Amino acid sequence: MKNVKAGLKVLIIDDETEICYLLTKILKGKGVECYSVYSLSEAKSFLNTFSPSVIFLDNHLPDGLGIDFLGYLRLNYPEIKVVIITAHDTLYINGKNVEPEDIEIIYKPFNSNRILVALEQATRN
Amino acid sequence: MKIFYKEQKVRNGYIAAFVLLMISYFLVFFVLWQMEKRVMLVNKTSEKINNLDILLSCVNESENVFKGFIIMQDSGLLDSYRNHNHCAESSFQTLKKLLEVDDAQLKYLDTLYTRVSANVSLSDSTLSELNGAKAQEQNIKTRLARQSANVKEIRRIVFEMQTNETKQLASSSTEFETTSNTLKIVHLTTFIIALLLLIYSVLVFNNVSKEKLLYREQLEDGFKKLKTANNDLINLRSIEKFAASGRIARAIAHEIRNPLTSISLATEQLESTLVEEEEKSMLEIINRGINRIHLLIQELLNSTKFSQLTLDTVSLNTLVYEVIDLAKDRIDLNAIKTVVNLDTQPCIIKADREKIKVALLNVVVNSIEAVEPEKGIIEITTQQNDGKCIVSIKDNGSGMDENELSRIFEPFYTLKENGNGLGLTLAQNIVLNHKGDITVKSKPNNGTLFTMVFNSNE
Repeated sequence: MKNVKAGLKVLIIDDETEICYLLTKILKGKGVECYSVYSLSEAKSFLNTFSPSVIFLDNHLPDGLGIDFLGYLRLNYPEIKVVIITAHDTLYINGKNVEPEDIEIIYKPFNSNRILVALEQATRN
Repeated sequence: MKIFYKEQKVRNGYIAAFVLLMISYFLVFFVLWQMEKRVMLVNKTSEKINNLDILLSCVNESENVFKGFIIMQDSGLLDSYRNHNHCAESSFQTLKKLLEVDDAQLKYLDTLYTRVSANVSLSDSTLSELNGAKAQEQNIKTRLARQSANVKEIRRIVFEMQTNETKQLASSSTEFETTSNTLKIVHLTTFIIALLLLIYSVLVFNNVSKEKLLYREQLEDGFKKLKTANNDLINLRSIEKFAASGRIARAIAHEIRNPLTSISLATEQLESTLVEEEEKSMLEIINRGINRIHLLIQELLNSTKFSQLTLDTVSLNTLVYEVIDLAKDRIDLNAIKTVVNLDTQPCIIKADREKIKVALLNVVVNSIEAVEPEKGIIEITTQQNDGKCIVSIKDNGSGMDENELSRIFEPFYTLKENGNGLGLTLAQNIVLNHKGDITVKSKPNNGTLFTMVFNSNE
Protein backbone atom coordinates (compact mmCIF):
# COMPACT_ATOMS: atom_id res chain seq x y z
CA MET A 1 0.00 0.00 0.00
CA LYS A 2 1.14 3.42 -0.90
CA ASN A 3 1.78 5.91 1.77
CA VAL A 4 -0.27 9.03 1.81
CA LYS A 5 0.75 12.39 3.12
CA ALA A 6 -0.83 13.16 6.45
CA GLY A 7 -3.61 15.73 6.61
CA LEU A 8 -4.44 15.52 2.90
CA LYS A 9 -7.84 16.81 1.82
CA VAL A 10 -9.68 15.10 -1.05
CA LEU A 11 -13.02 15.73 -2.75
CA ILE A 12 -14.72 13.04 -4.82
CA ILE A 13 -17.23 14.15 -7.47
CA ASP A 14 -19.14 11.16 -8.85
CA ASP A 15 -22.84 10.40 -9.27
CA GLU A 16 -22.21 6.73 -8.39
CA THR A 17 -22.97 6.85 -4.67
CA GLU A 18 -21.51 3.42 -3.99
CA ILE A 19 -18.19 4.33 -5.56
CA CYS A 20 -18.18 7.55 -3.52
CA TYR A 21 -18.92 5.60 -0.37
CA LEU A 22 -16.17 3.01 -0.99
CA LEU A 23 -13.56 5.57 -2.07
CA THR A 24 -14.26 7.73 0.95
CA LYS A 25 -13.95 4.72 3.19
CA ILE A 26 -10.61 3.67 1.63
CA LEU A 27 -9.11 7.16 1.76
CA LYS A 28 -10.32 7.85 5.28
CA GLY A 29 -8.66 4.58 6.26
CA LYS A 30 -5.43 6.13 4.96
CA GLY A 31 -5.91 9.20 7.09
CA VAL A 32 -7.20 11.43 4.34
CA GLU A 33 -9.90 13.99 5.03
CA CYS A 34 -12.34 12.98 2.33
CA TYR A 35 -15.77 14.11 1.19
CA SER A 36 -17.89 13.27 -1.79
CA VAL A 37 -20.54 15.10 -3.82
CA TYR A 38 -22.74 13.74 -6.64
CA SER A 39 -22.94 16.61 -9.12
CA LEU A 40 -21.04 19.65 -10.43
CA SER A 41 -23.42 22.15 -8.85
CA GLU A 42 -23.01 20.46 -5.48
CA ALA A 43 -19.26 20.57 -5.98
CA LYS A 44 -19.31 24.31 -6.67
CA SER A 45 -21.09 25.12 -3.41
CA PHE A 46 -19.08 22.56 -1.45
CA LEU A 47 -15.80 24.15 -2.60
CA ASN A 48 -16.87 27.40 -0.90
CA THR A 49 -16.41 25.75 2.47
CA PHE A 50 -13.88 23.02 1.76
CA SER A 51 -10.47 23.41 0.11
CA PRO A 52 -9.15 20.03 -1.07
CA SER A 53 -5.64 19.40 -2.43
CA VAL A 54 -6.93 16.78 -4.84
CA ILE A 55 -10.27 16.25 -6.60
CA PHE A 56 -11.29 12.90 -8.10
CA LEU A 57 -13.64 14.04 -10.84
CA ASP A 58 -15.93 11.66 -12.73
CA ASN A 59 -16.33 12.73 -16.35
CA HIS A 60 -20.01 11.90 -16.88
CA LEU A 61 -22.12 13.73 -14.34
CA PRO A 62 -25.83 14.53 -14.36
CA ASP A 63 -25.27 18.27 -14.91
CA GLY A 64 -22.30 18.22 -17.25
CA LEU A 65 -18.96 16.81 -18.23
CA GLY A 66 -16.10 16.70 -15.75
CA ILE A 67 -13.73 17.78 -18.50
CA ASP A 68 -15.73 20.98 -18.95
CA PHE A 69 -15.67 21.62 -15.21
CA LEU A 70 -11.87 21.48 -15.38
CA GLY A 71 -11.73 25.00 -16.82
CA TYR A 72 -13.80 26.36 -13.93
CA LEU A 73 -11.53 24.68 -11.40
CA ARG A 74 -8.33 25.93 -13.02
CA LEU A 75 -9.68 29.46 -13.07
CA ASN A 76 -11.01 29.56 -9.52
CA TYR A 77 -8.89 26.99 -7.73
CA PRO A 78 -5.61 26.72 -9.63
CA GLU A 79 -3.90 25.09 -6.67
CA ILE A 80 -6.18 22.02 -6.67
CA LYS A 81 -4.84 18.94 -8.44
CA VAL A 82 -7.48 17.09 -10.47
CA VAL A 83 -7.68 13.39 -11.34
CA ILE A 84 -10.35 12.46 -13.85
CA ILE A 85 -12.25 9.18 -13.57
CA THR A 86 -14.18 7.77 -16.50
CA ALA A 87 -16.13 4.64 -17.37
CA HIS A 88 -15.38 5.22 -21.06
CA ASP A 89 -12.25 4.24 -23.01
CA THR A 90 -11.24 7.77 -23.88
CA LEU A 91 -12.40 11.31 -23.33
CA TYR A 92 -13.45 11.50 -27.01
CA ILE A 93 -16.15 14.08 -27.54
CA ASN A 94 -17.69 14.31 -31.00
CA GLY A 95 -14.86 12.22 -32.41
CA LYS A 96 -12.20 14.56 -31.04
CA ASN A 97 -9.62 13.56 -28.52
CA VAL A 98 -9.80 16.13 -25.73
CA GLU A 99 -7.57 14.24 -23.31
CA PRO A 100 -5.57 16.93 -21.45
CA GLU A 101 -1.92 15.94 -21.29
CA ASP A 102 -1.22 17.20 -17.77
CA ILE A 103 -4.15 15.44 -16.15
CA GLU A 104 -4.10 11.98 -14.62
CA ILE A 105 -6.96 9.78 -15.88
CA ILE A 106 -8.27 6.70 -14.15
CA TYR A 107 -10.35 4.29 -16.17
CA LYS A 108 -13.10 2.28 -14.52
CA PRO A 109 -12.97 -0.36 -13.23
CA PHE A 110 -10.05 0.37 -10.95
CA ASN A 111 -8.77 -0.88 -7.59
CA SER A 112 -7.77 1.06 -4.50
CA ASN A 113 -4.09 0.85 -5.39
CA ARG A 114 -4.72 2.76 -8.63
CA ILE A 115 -6.36 5.56 -6.61
CA LEU A 116 -3.56 5.70 -4.11
CA VAL A 117 -0.89 5.82 -6.87
CA ALA A 118 -2.73 8.68 -8.51
CA LEU A 119 -3.04 10.47 -5.20
CA GLU A 120 0.64 10.07 -4.50
CA GLN A 121 1.59 11.41 -7.92
CA ALA A 122 -0.77 14.36 -7.60
CA THR A 123 0.65 15.41 -4.25
CA ARG A 124 4.31 14.73 -5.03
CA ASN A 125 5.02 18.13 -6.54
CA MET B 1 -38.57 12.44 -76.55
CA LYS B 2 -36.56 13.71 -79.53
CA ILE B 3 -35.72 10.21 -80.60
CA PHE B 4 -39.39 9.18 -80.65
CA TYR B 5 -40.28 12.27 -82.66
CA LYS B 6 -37.64 11.29 -85.24
CA GLU B 7 -38.88 7.73 -85.33
CA GLN B 8 -42.33 9.12 -86.11
CA LYS B 9 -40.77 11.07 -88.98
CA VAL B 10 -39.13 7.92 -90.34
CA ARG B 11 -42.44 6.12 -90.11
CA ASN B 12 -44.18 8.98 -91.95
CA GLY B 13 -41.48 8.87 -94.66
CA TYR B 14 -42.03 5.18 -95.20
CA ILE B 15 -45.81 5.63 -95.29
CA ALA B 16 -45.48 8.41 -97.89
CA ALA B 17 -43.14 6.27 -100.01
CA PHE B 18 -45.62 3.42 -99.78
CA VAL B 19 -48.52 5.67 -100.85
CA LEU B 20 -46.51 6.93 -103.83
CA LEU B 21 -45.64 3.38 -104.78
CA MET B 22 -49.34 2.52 -104.70
CA ILE B 23 -50.10 5.52 -106.95
CA SER B 24 -47.40 4.31 -109.34
CA TYR B 25 -48.90 0.85 -109.44
CA PHE B 26 -52.34 2.31 -110.07
CA LEU B 27 -50.98 4.41 -112.94
CA VAL B 28 -49.29 1.37 -114.48
CA PHE B 29 -52.57 -0.52 -114.36
CA PHE B 30 -54.34 2.49 -115.82
CA VAL B 31 -51.85 2.68 -118.73
CA LEU B 32 -52.17 -1.05 -119.40
CA TRP B 33 -55.94 -0.72 -119.45
CA GLN B 34 -55.72 2.24 -121.84
CA MET B 35 -53.36 0.32 -124.12
CA GLU B 36 -55.70 -2.65 -124.16
CA LYS B 37 -58.57 -0.34 -125.05
CA ARG B 38 -56.50 1.16 -127.83
CA VAL B 39 -55.53 -2.23 -129.26
CA MET B 40 -59.21 -3.15 -129.29
CA LEU B 41 -60.05 0.13 -131.01
CA VAL B 42 -57.40 -0.46 -133.70
CA ASN B 43 -58.64 -3.99 -134.26
CA LYS B 44 -62.23 -2.81 -134.51
CA THR B 45 -61.35 0.01 -136.93
CA SER B 46 -59.40 -2.31 -139.23
CA GLU B 47 -62.29 -4.77 -139.09
CA LYS B 48 -64.69 -1.99 -140.11
CA ILE B 49 -62.42 -0.87 -142.95
CA ASN B 50 -62.00 -4.48 -144.11
CA ASN B 51 -65.73 -5.08 -144.09
CA LEU B 52 -66.30 -1.85 -146.02
CA ASP B 53 -63.74 -3.07 -148.60
CA ILE B 54 -65.49 -6.43 -148.78
CA LEU B 55 -68.84 -4.66 -149.20
CA LEU B 56 -67.47 -2.48 -151.97
CA SER B 57 -65.88 -5.36 -153.85
CA CYS B 58 -69.09 -7.41 -153.54
CA VAL B 59 -71.15 -4.52 -154.91
CA ASN B 60 -68.61 -4.01 -157.76
CA GLU B 61 -68.49 -7.70 -158.56
CA SER B 62 -72.28 -7.94 -158.38
CA GLU B 63 -72.60 -5.09 -160.89
CA ASN B 64 -69.94 -6.50 -163.25
CA VAL B 65 -71.36 -10.03 -163.11
CA PHE B 66 -74.86 -8.70 -163.69
CA LYS B 67 -73.67 -6.76 -166.74
CA GLY B 68 -71.97 -9.91 -168.02
CA PHE B 69 -75.19 -11.87 -167.52
CA ILE B 70 -77.12 -9.24 -169.56
CA ILE B 71 -74.63 -9.61 -172.42
CA MET B 72 -74.03 -13.37 -172.30
CA GLN B 73 -77.33 -14.57 -170.84
CA ASP B 74 -75.35 -17.26 -168.88
CA SER B 75 -77.38 -18.51 -165.88
CA GLY B 76 -74.09 -19.34 -164.08
CA LEU B 77 -73.32 -15.67 -163.96
CA LEU B 78 -76.73 -15.07 -162.42
CA ASP B 79 -75.85 -17.46 -159.61
CA SER B 80 -72.58 -15.64 -159.11
CA TYR B 81 -74.50 -12.33 -159.09
CA ARG B 82 -76.79 -13.67 -156.35
CA ASN B 83 -73.80 -14.89 -154.32
CA HIS B 84 -72.22 -11.43 -154.48
CA ASN B 85 -75.46 -9.89 -153.32
CA HIS B 86 -75.48 -12.27 -150.33
CA CYS B 87 -71.91 -11.31 -149.65
CA ALA B 88 -72.86 -7.63 -149.63
CA GLU B 89 -75.80 -8.36 -147.34
CA SER B 90 -73.70 -10.22 -144.79
CA SER B 91 -71.08 -7.40 -144.81
CA PHE B 92 -73.89 -4.98 -144.04
CA GLN B 93 -74.99 -7.01 -141.08
CA THR B 94 -71.43 -7.18 -139.73
CA LEU B 95 -70.92 -3.46 -140.24
CA LYS B 96 -74.23 -2.67 -138.54
CA LYS B 97 -73.03 -4.51 -135.46
CA LEU B 98 -69.61 -2.88 -135.56
CA LEU B 99 -71.02 0.63 -135.95
CA GLU B 100 -73.74 0.17 -133.31
CA VAL B 101 -72.53 3.07 -131.15
CA ASP B 102 -71.48 5.44 -133.95
CA ASP B 103 -74.62 7.32 -135.08
CA ALA B 104 -72.92 9.34 -137.88
CA GLN B 105 -71.42 6.25 -139.47
CA LEU B 106 -74.74 4.40 -139.08
CA LYS B 107 -76.45 7.12 -141.12
CA TYR B 108 -73.87 6.60 -143.87
CA LEU B 109 -74.45 2.89 -143.61
CA ASP B 110 -78.20 3.42 -144.01
CA THR B 111 -77.62 5.51 -147.19
CA LEU B 112 -75.26 2.81 -148.39
CA TYR B 113 -77.90 0.18 -147.73
CA THR B 114 -80.55 2.23 -149.59
CA ARG B 115 -78.24 2.51 -152.61
CA VAL B 116 -77.34 -1.16 -152.66
CA SER B 117 -81.00 -2.14 -152.20
CA ALA B 118 -81.91 0.23 -155.05
CA ASN B 119 -79.39 -1.50 -157.31
CA VAL B 120 -80.76 -4.90 -156.33
CA SER B 121 -84.33 -3.86 -157.05
CA LEU B 122 -83.20 -2.30 -160.41
CA SER B 123 -81.53 -5.61 -161.28
CA ASP B 124 -84.63 -7.53 -160.23
CA SER B 125 -86.76 -5.32 -162.52
CA THR B 126 -84.36 -5.96 -165.44
CA LEU B 127 -84.39 -9.69 -164.74
CA SER B 128 -88.16 -9.88 -164.70
CA GLU B 129 -88.28 -7.88 -167.96
CA LEU B 130 -85.83 -10.25 -169.60
CA ASN B 131 -87.95 -13.20 -168.50
CA GLY B 132 -91.09 -11.55 -169.91
CA ALA B 133 -92.18 -11.39 -173.57
CA LYS B 134 -91.26 -7.85 -174.41
CA ALA B 135 -87.88 -6.79 -173.29
CA GLN B 136 -87.10 -3.16 -173.82
CA GLU B 137 -83.44 -2.57 -174.49
CA GLN B 138 -83.77 1.11 -173.75
CA ASN B 139 -85.17 0.46 -170.27
CA ILE B 140 -82.41 -1.98 -169.46
CA LYS B 141 -79.76 0.52 -170.46
CA THR B 142 -81.32 3.26 -168.39
CA ARG B 143 -81.41 0.93 -165.36
CA LEU B 144 -77.79 -0.11 -165.93
CA ALA B 145 -76.76 3.52 -166.11
CA ARG B 146 -78.60 4.23 -162.86
CA GLN B 147 -76.92 1.17 -161.28
CA SER B 148 -73.49 2.41 -162.35
CA ALA B 149 -74.23 5.82 -160.82
CA ASN B 150 -75.33 4.08 -157.62
CA VAL B 151 -72.15 2.03 -157.45
CA LYS B 152 -70.15 5.19 -157.91
CA GLU B 153 -72.03 6.79 -155.03
CA ILE B 154 -71.55 3.64 -152.96
CA ARG B 155 -67.80 3.76 -153.60
CA ARG B 156 -67.76 7.42 -152.53
CA ILE B 157 -69.68 6.71 -149.31
CA VAL B 158 -67.50 3.70 -148.47
CA PHE B 159 -64.42 5.80 -149.02
CA GLU B 160 -65.84 8.55 -146.80
CA MET B 161 -66.71 6.05 -144.09
CA GLN B 162 -63.19 4.59 -144.22
CA THR B 163 -61.74 8.12 -144.00
CA ASN B 164 -63.95 8.76 -140.94
CA GLU B 165 -62.77 5.60 -139.26
CA THR B 166 -59.11 6.45 -139.94
CA LYS B 167 -59.68 9.95 -138.57
CA GLN B 168 -61.30 8.56 -135.41
CA LEU B 169 -58.35 6.23 -134.93
CA ALA B 170 -55.90 9.08 -135.44
CA SER B 171 -57.71 11.33 -132.92
CA SER B 172 -57.79 8.52 -130.36
CA SER B 173 -54.06 8.03 -130.97
CA THR B 174 -53.39 11.67 -130.22
CA GLU B 175 -55.54 11.47 -127.09
CA PHE B 176 -53.67 8.36 -125.96
CA GLU B 177 -50.33 10.02 -126.56
CA THR B 178 -51.36 13.06 -124.49
CA THR B 179 -52.53 10.81 -121.66
CA SER B 180 -49.40 8.75 -121.96
CA ASN B 181 -47.17 11.84 -121.77
CA THR B 182 -49.02 13.19 -118.75
CA LEU B 183 -48.70 9.81 -117.09
CA LYS B 184 -44.97 9.76 -117.84
CA ILE B 185 -44.55 13.09 -116.07
CA VAL B 186 -46.64 11.94 -113.10
CA HIS B 187 -44.64 8.70 -112.99
CA LEU B 188 -41.31 10.44 -113.01
CA THR B 189 -42.39 12.94 -110.36
CA THR B 190 -43.70 10.15 -108.12
CA PHE B 191 -40.51 8.22 -108.59
CA ILE B 192 -38.33 11.22 -107.68
CA ILE B 193 -40.42 12.06 -104.60
CA ALA B 194 -40.36 8.42 -103.48
CA LEU B 195 -36.61 8.32 -103.99
CA LEU B 196 -36.11 11.55 -102.01
CA LEU B 197 -38.33 10.28 -99.21
CA LEU B 198 -36.43 7.04 -99.14
CA ILE B 199 -33.08 8.83 -98.93
CA TYR B 200 -34.44 11.14 -96.24
CA SER B 201 -35.81 8.20 -94.27
CA VAL B 202 -32.53 6.33 -94.50
CA LEU B 203 -30.64 9.43 -93.33
CA VAL B 204 -33.03 10.06 -90.45
CA PHE B 205 -32.97 6.37 -89.57
CA ASN B 206 -29.18 6.38 -89.43
CA ASN B 207 -29.29 9.46 -87.27
CA VAL B 208 -31.83 7.82 -84.98
CA SER B 209 -29.67 4.70 -84.78
CA LYS B 210 -26.73 6.82 -83.68
CA GLU B 211 -28.89 8.59 -81.12
CA LYS B 212 -30.21 5.26 -79.95
CA LEU B 213 -26.66 4.08 -79.48
CA LEU B 214 -25.89 7.23 -77.53
CA TYR B 215 -29.06 6.77 -75.49
CA ARG B 216 -28.07 3.18 -74.81
CA GLU B 217 -24.61 4.29 -73.69
CA GLN B 218 -26.19 6.86 -71.40
CA LEU B 219 -28.47 4.18 -69.98
CA GLU B 220 -25.56 1.81 -69.41
CA ASP B 221 -23.61 4.60 -67.80
CA GLY B 222 -26.57 5.40 -65.55
CA PHE B 223 -26.90 1.76 -64.69
CA LYS B 224 -23.23 1.60 -63.72
CA LYS B 225 -23.59 4.69 -61.56
CA LEU B 226 -26.68 3.20 -59.95
CA LYS B 227 -24.79 0.01 -59.21
CA THR B 228 -21.94 1.96 -57.63
CA ALA B 229 -24.41 4.02 -55.62
CA ASN B 230 -26.13 0.84 -54.52
CA ASN B 231 -22.83 -0.67 -53.41
CA ASP B 232 -21.99 2.54 -51.57
CA LEU B 233 -25.38 2.36 -49.91
CA ILE B 234 -24.80 -1.25 -48.83
CA ASN B 235 -21.40 -0.23 -47.46
CA LEU B 236 -22.93 2.74 -45.70
CA ARG B 237 -25.54 0.48 -44.22
CA SER B 238 -22.92 -1.88 -42.84
CA ILE B 239 -20.95 1.11 -41.54
CA GLU B 240 -24.11 2.49 -39.97
CA LYS B 241 -24.86 -0.91 -38.44
CA PHE B 242 -21.33 -1.09 -37.19
CA ALA B 243 -21.52 2.43 -35.73
CA ALA B 244 -24.79 1.52 -34.01
CA SER B 245 -23.15 -1.57 -32.53
CA GLY B 246 -20.34 0.69 -31.29
CA ARG B 247 -22.77 3.11 -29.65
CA ILE B 248 -24.61 0.30 -27.91
CA ALA B 249 -21.32 -1.28 -26.80
CA ARG B 250 -20.09 2.00 -25.32
CA ALA B 251 -23.36 2.58 -23.46
CA ILE B 252 -23.29 -0.96 -22.05
CA ALA B 253 -19.63 -0.64 -21.11
CA HIS B 254 -20.33 2.57 -19.20
CA GLU B 255 -23.26 1.05 -17.35
CA ILE B 256 -21.33 -2.12 -16.45
CA ARG B 257 -18.03 -0.52 -15.49
CA ASN B 258 -19.57 1.60 -12.72
CA PRO B 259 -21.05 -1.28 -10.69
CA LEU B 260 -17.96 -3.31 -11.58
CA THR B 261 -15.83 -0.65 -9.88
CA SER B 262 -18.04 -0.78 -6.82
CA ILE B 263 -17.81 -4.57 -6.68
CA SER B 264 -14.04 -4.45 -7.15
CA LEU B 265 -13.51 -1.85 -4.42
CA ALA B 266 -15.93 -3.56 -2.05
CA THR B 267 -14.24 -6.93 -2.58
CA GLU B 268 -10.89 -5.39 -1.72
CA GLN B 269 -12.38 -4.01 1.47
CA LEU B 270 -13.69 -7.40 2.40
CA GLU B 271 -10.33 -9.00 1.64
CA SER B 272 -8.64 -6.90 4.28
CA THR B 273 -11.14 -7.90 6.96
CA LEU B 274 -11.62 -11.62 6.22
CA VAL B 275 -9.27 -14.16 7.68
CA GLU B 276 -10.80 -17.55 6.77
CA GLU B 277 -9.17 -19.26 3.75
CA GLU B 278 -12.52 -20.43 2.41
CA GLU B 279 -13.87 -16.89 2.57
CA LYS B 280 -10.80 -15.63 0.74
CA SER B 281 -11.23 -18.22 -2.00
CA MET B 282 -14.80 -16.96 -2.44
CA LEU B 283 -13.39 -13.47 -2.96
CA GLU B 284 -10.97 -14.93 -5.49
CA ILE B 285 -13.95 -16.21 -7.47
CA ILE B 286 -15.51 -12.74 -7.33
CA ASN B 287 -12.26 -11.17 -8.50
CA ARG B 288 -11.94 -13.60 -11.40
CA GLY B 289 -15.51 -12.78 -12.40
CA ILE B 290 -14.69 -9.06 -12.24
CA ASN B 291 -11.66 -9.57 -14.46
CA ARG B 292 -13.59 -11.68 -16.93
CA ILE B 293 -16.32 -9.08 -17.25
CA HIS B 294 -13.73 -6.35 -17.54
CA LEU B 295 -11.89 -8.14 -20.38
CA LEU B 296 -15.11 -8.95 -22.17
CA ILE B 297 -16.18 -5.32 -22.08
CA GLN B 298 -12.75 -4.30 -23.32
CA GLU B 299 -12.95 -6.74 -26.25
CA LEU B 300 -16.45 -5.63 -27.11
CA LEU B 301 -15.32 -2.03 -27.24
CA ASN B 302 -12.24 -2.84 -29.26
CA SER B 303 -14.21 -4.80 -31.80
CA THR B 304 -16.80 -2.09 -32.30
CA LYS B 305 -14.95 1.18 -32.14
CA PHE B 306 -13.29 3.20 -34.87
CA SER B 307 -9.69 3.07 -33.83
CA GLN B 308 -6.61 5.07 -34.76
CA LEU B 309 -4.59 3.45 -37.55
CA THR B 310 -0.84 3.49 -38.06
CA LEU B 311 -0.85 3.53 -41.83
CA ASP B 312 1.88 1.98 -43.94
CA THR B 313 2.12 0.82 -47.57
CA VAL B 314 1.95 -2.95 -47.58
CA SER B 315 1.52 -5.68 -50.14
CA LEU B 316 -1.65 -7.67 -49.69
CA ASN B 317 0.16 -10.82 -50.84
CA THR B 318 2.78 -10.41 -48.07
CA LEU B 319 0.04 -9.95 -45.48
CA VAL B 320 -1.67 -13.12 -46.67
CA TYR B 321 1.60 -15.10 -46.37
CA GLU B 322 2.19 -13.76 -42.85
CA VAL B 323 -1.36 -14.60 -41.80
CA ILE B 324 -1.10 -18.15 -43.20
CA ASP B 325 2.11 -18.50 -41.19
CA LEU B 326 0.32 -17.32 -38.05
CA ALA B 327 -2.48 -19.83 -38.62
CA LYS B 328 -0.12 -22.65 -39.63
CA ASP B 329 -0.32 -24.49 -36.30
CA ARG B 330 -4.10 -24.63 -36.36
CA ILE B 331 -4.18 -25.59 -40.04
CA ASP B 332 -1.73 -28.44 -39.45
CA LEU B 333 -3.49 -29.56 -36.28
CA ASN B 334 -6.77 -30.03 -38.18
CA ALA B 335 -5.02 -31.37 -41.32
CA ILE B 336 -6.68 -28.76 -43.48
CA LYS B 337 -5.64 -28.30 -47.09
CA THR B 338 -4.90 -24.73 -48.11
CA VAL B 339 -4.98 -23.47 -51.70
CA VAL B 340 -3.33 -20.09 -52.20
CA ASN B 341 -3.88 -18.26 -55.50
CA LEU B 342 -2.05 -14.96 -55.25
CA ASP B 343 -2.08 -12.31 -57.94
CA THR B 344 1.21 -12.22 -59.86
CA GLN B 345 1.22 -8.43 -59.58
CA PRO B 346 1.38 -7.60 -55.85
CA CYS B 347 -1.41 -5.22 -54.90
CA ILE B 348 -0.24 -2.46 -52.58
CA ILE B 349 -2.59 -0.99 -50.00
CA LYS B 350 -2.29 1.67 -47.36
CA ALA B 351 -3.02 -0.11 -44.12
CA ASP B 352 -2.23 -0.66 -40.47
CA ARG B 353 -0.20 -3.84 -41.01
CA GLU B 354 -0.89 -5.42 -37.60
CA LYS B 355 -4.59 -4.59 -37.59
CA ILE B 356 -5.17 -5.91 -41.13
CA LYS B 357 -3.36 -9.09 -40.13
CA VAL B 358 -5.72 -9.46 -37.16
CA ALA B 359 -8.70 -9.01 -39.49
CA LEU B 360 -7.38 -11.57 -42.00
CA LEU B 361 -6.41 -14.00 -39.26
CA ASN B 362 -9.85 -13.77 -37.66
CA VAL B 363 -11.50 -14.63 -40.97
CA VAL B 364 -9.04 -17.47 -41.65
CA VAL B 365 -9.55 -18.84 -38.12
CA ASN B 366 -13.31 -18.63 -38.64
CA SER B 367 -12.88 -20.74 -41.79
CA ILE B 368 -10.59 -23.22 -40.02
CA GLU B 369 -13.24 -23.68 -37.35
CA ALA B 370 -16.00 -24.01 -39.95
CA VAL B 371 -14.48 -26.94 -41.87
CA GLU B 372 -14.30 -30.58 -40.93
CA PRO B 373 -10.82 -31.71 -39.78
CA GLU B 374 -8.93 -33.67 -42.48
CA LYS B 375 -11.55 -32.87 -45.11
CA GLY B 376 -11.40 -29.10 -45.00
CA ILE B 377 -10.10 -27.02 -47.88
CA ILE B 378 -9.46 -23.30 -47.51
CA GLU B 379 -8.82 -21.29 -50.65
CA ILE B 380 -7.21 -17.86 -50.36
CA THR B 381 -7.15 -15.68 -53.46
CA THR B 382 -5.88 -12.17 -54.12
CA GLN B 383 -6.59 -10.11 -57.21
CA GLN B 384 -6.71 -6.57 -58.52
CA ASN B 385 -9.68 -5.02 -60.21
CA ASP B 386 -10.46 -1.42 -61.10
CA GLY B 387 -8.15 0.16 -58.53
CA LYS B 388 -9.16 -2.27 -55.81
CA CYS B 389 -7.20 -4.98 -54.03
CA ILE B 390 -9.40 -7.96 -53.30
CA VAL B 391 -8.72 -10.88 -51.00
CA SER B 392 -11.18 -13.74 -50.78
CA ILE B 393 -11.20 -16.62 -48.33
CA LYS B 394 -13.33 -19.60 -49.27
CA ASP B 395 -14.00 -22.72 -47.27
CA ASN B 396 -15.86 -25.97 -47.90
CA GLY B 397 -17.46 -25.95 -44.46
CA SER B 398 -21.10 -26.41 -43.49
CA GLY B 399 -22.11 -22.93 -44.64
CA MET B 400 -24.87 -20.77 -43.19
CA ASP B 401 -28.49 -19.93 -43.87
CA GLU B 402 -29.69 -16.38 -44.58
CA ASN B 403 -30.56 -15.62 -40.96
CA GLU B 404 -27.13 -16.67 -39.72
CA LEU B 405 -25.50 -14.81 -42.57
CA SER B 406 -27.26 -11.55 -41.73
CA ARG B 407 -26.00 -11.69 -38.12
CA ILE B 408 -22.48 -12.96 -38.77
CA PHE B 409 -20.78 -9.62 -37.93
CA GLU B 410 -22.93 -8.85 -34.88
CA PRO B 411 -21.02 -8.70 -31.58
CA PHE B 412 -21.36 -11.87 -29.45
CA TYR B 413 -23.10 -13.72 -32.28
CA THR B 414 -21.45 -17.11 -32.58
CA LEU B 415 -22.29 -20.58 -33.86
CA LYS B 416 -19.31 -22.18 -32.10
CA GLU B 417 -19.15 -23.67 -28.62
CA ASN B 418 -16.00 -21.81 -27.65
CA GLY B 419 -16.39 -18.63 -29.67
CA ASN B 420 -16.95 -15.26 -28.04
CA GLY B 421 -18.68 -13.87 -31.16
CA LEU B 422 -16.30 -10.95 -31.51
CA GLY B 423 -13.73 -12.22 -34.05
CA LEU B 424 -15.63 -11.32 -37.22
CA THR B 425 -16.98 -8.16 -35.58
CA LEU B 426 -13.41 -7.05 -35.06
CA ALA B 427 -12.44 -8.11 -38.61
CA GLN B 428 -15.28 -6.02 -40.00
CA ASN B 429 -14.31 -3.14 -37.72
CA ILE B 430 -10.74 -3.18 -38.99
CA VAL B 431 -11.75 -3.43 -42.66
CA LEU B 432 -14.29 -0.60 -42.31
CA ASN B 433 -11.68 1.45 -40.46
CA HIS B 434 -9.52 1.10 -43.58
CA LYS B 435 -12.43 2.36 -45.70
CA GLY B 436 -12.59 -1.12 -47.13
CA ASP B 437 -15.48 -3.48 -47.53
CA ILE B 438 -16.10 -6.98 -46.23
CA THR B 439 -18.86 -9.20 -47.58
CA VAL B 440 -19.84 -12.79 -47.02
CA LYS B 441 -21.64 -15.26 -49.22
CA SER B 442 -22.80 -18.64 -48.00
CA LYS B 443 -25.37 -21.39 -48.40
CA PRO B 444 -26.06 -24.29 -46.07
CA ASN B 445 -23.77 -27.26 -46.93
CA ASN B 446 -22.12 -25.17 -49.61
CA GLY B 447 -19.22 -23.48 -47.85
CA THR B 448 -18.64 -19.80 -47.16
CA LEU B 449 -16.85 -17.09 -49.09
CA PHE B 450 -15.51 -13.95 -47.42
CA THR B 451 -14.40 -11.11 -49.66
CA MET B 452 -12.45 -8.10 -48.45
CA VAL B 453 -11.95 -5.17 -50.78
CA PHE B 454 -9.41 -2.40 -50.18
CA ASN B 455 -8.51 0.67 -52.20
CA SER B 456 -5.26 0.19 -54.09
CA ASN B 457 -2.47 2.61 -53.22
CA GLU B 458 -1.27 2.80 -56.83
